[in-house]
Amino acid sequence: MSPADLLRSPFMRRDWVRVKNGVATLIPPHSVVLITATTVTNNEVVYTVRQPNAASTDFNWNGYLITGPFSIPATVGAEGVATEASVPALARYDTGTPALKEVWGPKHGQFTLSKGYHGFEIVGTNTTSPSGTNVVPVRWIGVEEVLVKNETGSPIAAANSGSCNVYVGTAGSETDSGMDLTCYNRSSTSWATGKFGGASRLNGSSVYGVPWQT
Amino acid sequence: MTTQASVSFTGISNIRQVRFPFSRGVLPSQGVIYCPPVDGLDAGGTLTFSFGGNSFSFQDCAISSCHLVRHYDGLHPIWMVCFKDRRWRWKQKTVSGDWNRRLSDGTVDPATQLTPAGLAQQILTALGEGSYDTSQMPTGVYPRCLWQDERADIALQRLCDYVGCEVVLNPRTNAVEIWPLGSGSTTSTGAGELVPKYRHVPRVNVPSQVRVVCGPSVYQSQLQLTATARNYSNGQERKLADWEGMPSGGITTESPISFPNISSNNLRAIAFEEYLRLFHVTAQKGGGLAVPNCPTAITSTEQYVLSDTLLETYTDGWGFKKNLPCYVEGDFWAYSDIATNVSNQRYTGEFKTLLDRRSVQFPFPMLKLSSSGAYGEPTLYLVTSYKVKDANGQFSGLTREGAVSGSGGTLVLKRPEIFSIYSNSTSPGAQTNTEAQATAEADQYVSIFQQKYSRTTASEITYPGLLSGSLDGNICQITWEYSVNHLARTMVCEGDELDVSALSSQERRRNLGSEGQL
Repeated sequence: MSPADLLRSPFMRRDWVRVKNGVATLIPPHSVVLITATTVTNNEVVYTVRQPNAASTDFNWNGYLITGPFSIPATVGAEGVATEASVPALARYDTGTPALKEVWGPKHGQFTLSKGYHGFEIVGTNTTSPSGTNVVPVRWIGVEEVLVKNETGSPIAAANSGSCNVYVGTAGSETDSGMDLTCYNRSSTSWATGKFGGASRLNGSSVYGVPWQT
Repeated sequence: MTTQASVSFTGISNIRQVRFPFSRGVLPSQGVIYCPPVDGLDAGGTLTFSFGGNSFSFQDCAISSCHLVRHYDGLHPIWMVCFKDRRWRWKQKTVSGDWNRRLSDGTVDPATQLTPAGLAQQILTALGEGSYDTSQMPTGVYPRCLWQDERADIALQRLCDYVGCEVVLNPRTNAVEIWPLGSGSTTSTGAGELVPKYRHVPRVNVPSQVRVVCGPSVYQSQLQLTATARNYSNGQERKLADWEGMPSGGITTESPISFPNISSNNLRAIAFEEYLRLFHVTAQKGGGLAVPNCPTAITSTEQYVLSDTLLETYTDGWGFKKNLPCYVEGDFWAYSDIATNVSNQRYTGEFKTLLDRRSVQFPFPMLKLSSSGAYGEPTLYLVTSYKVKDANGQFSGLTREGAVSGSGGTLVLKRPEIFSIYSNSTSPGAQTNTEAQATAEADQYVSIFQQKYSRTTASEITYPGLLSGSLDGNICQITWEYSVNHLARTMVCEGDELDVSALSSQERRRNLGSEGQL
């Protein structure tokens, strides 16, 4: 049993921020959400959140939060709390059994983490919440580099940019995540279509892709 | 031939006349010696009466004043020397002690327990008395005594009054005796008395009933807590569902951390202070207002007079018993990682009791979460001890009564140190009902005072000569008179001090009262 005070209560030991629902969709407890805007309400920063990538297929390098043990009602503007998970927090996941040190992440169109996606490291053993959903302790570790594939149908010439699909999954059997990003080819090689490469964010928010295949 | 009587007093010669009314109590009795005046009189010591070959003495007497009484012809003045018996020394003595402290369950703390006899012995030792008899003092009662440099004689009188006794100085043994009032011998008749025994019944002094009024009973049970908040418009406290600031979505959807749907600054301020943080006692656990084992009709929780401690105690590292604090228990979300509510658990965080408001306030919102994470009001109970008042503001407590043969109404004896407790605690060793013990002690006081008034008659009788005798619980005054010109006599009073030439017991008590002590 956890007593309610600043020292001993797990909930009290986390850094919670105030969030509000950006759409009229119920956000269940322990959901991964994406920040879409911020406002200042009652002199406090409030983050508007929604389901990850629900509105677009854009890949997000960060801006994810994990909501607390409360649900956020299905009303635009309904409020709750969420955390960046720099200190481990319980997050919902979709399927399978998370193992320690695996990396799971937000997936297009769902509130749950999915295996092989990016950003959150598994730091504990999974359990079941009172509502019957699967939750596991995770910690935000960020995204340094992602596997991408040029599926534009045309090569991305050197010193040019083009859209690449983000691929996730088991090494050698990766699949299209449904998310994409625009990569700048700073190599001296033309990036042929259907070829894999790596993409990372450098120079502020610019994304550079490096073809791994020719 | 008339048997010769004589009187002597250390340091005084040519005694012409002596009158000594001798009474019970802690104050010294005062007598008068008439003798020729002598310059520089500094007498004191033993007063001795002798008659018919027998004698009895009063040791360690002292002079209190001397007054010249002039003869009608202005010649041959006589000295009226006033003296007091050895109880004059008692005024200077003090006593300290802390006895018969009551624990929160009404029982006497064994570390401080003393019977009335034991208490009297403490005082008599402080008075410097080495020989005394307290064996007849009542048992089964434990008067609360907290003496802090108290005048010992007044402490003794107060104790005796409380337990229906009186202090007697026995001239035969020079010892102090404490007698229960109403007990003792009666004056004999048919012994050649000068004035026969005339009895009367002073009805004004005899009640028809004795009533012992104990202290308020103390109850302990689980008290249901309901979330409330104040209306800003009229300052009235309301259940949360009826609160004027409650958003239309109700408790389930309003975040108790940020209140996004409460726009009024005043209501937001109240929300941050009270919404799911302020809980009011509204009933007993399970519903209803009736207090288990309490005969008082309860129509409102305003009749509960809450304390913030339990009846249970613990013994600290220095051997002192301290009351445990009250606590909250129930079903609530304990600020854990998961939306799981504890069930029937003790809340171990901070909270504040607002006793006059019969409320509890928490520093964080107390809530329950549904399995889907929606907010809800928790089920909470305050476990604490409390007293109960009736509709007239009278505390509920034990009273015990007994009939006395008089017609002077009810004598009310307040014994606030006696009280009963009623608790549904399941803590190991906790008392749950002390009514039997409290009733027994109160009944003992009834018996004590029934005995005090068991003899309703008062009387006086006068015998020839200076007769040795002692006071007791019935015989309350003996007056010895000696004169060179008249027959010596002994007047004995039962039931009341009837010697009009002496200060009455009521006046002596008024004197003590004027000293601010009794």
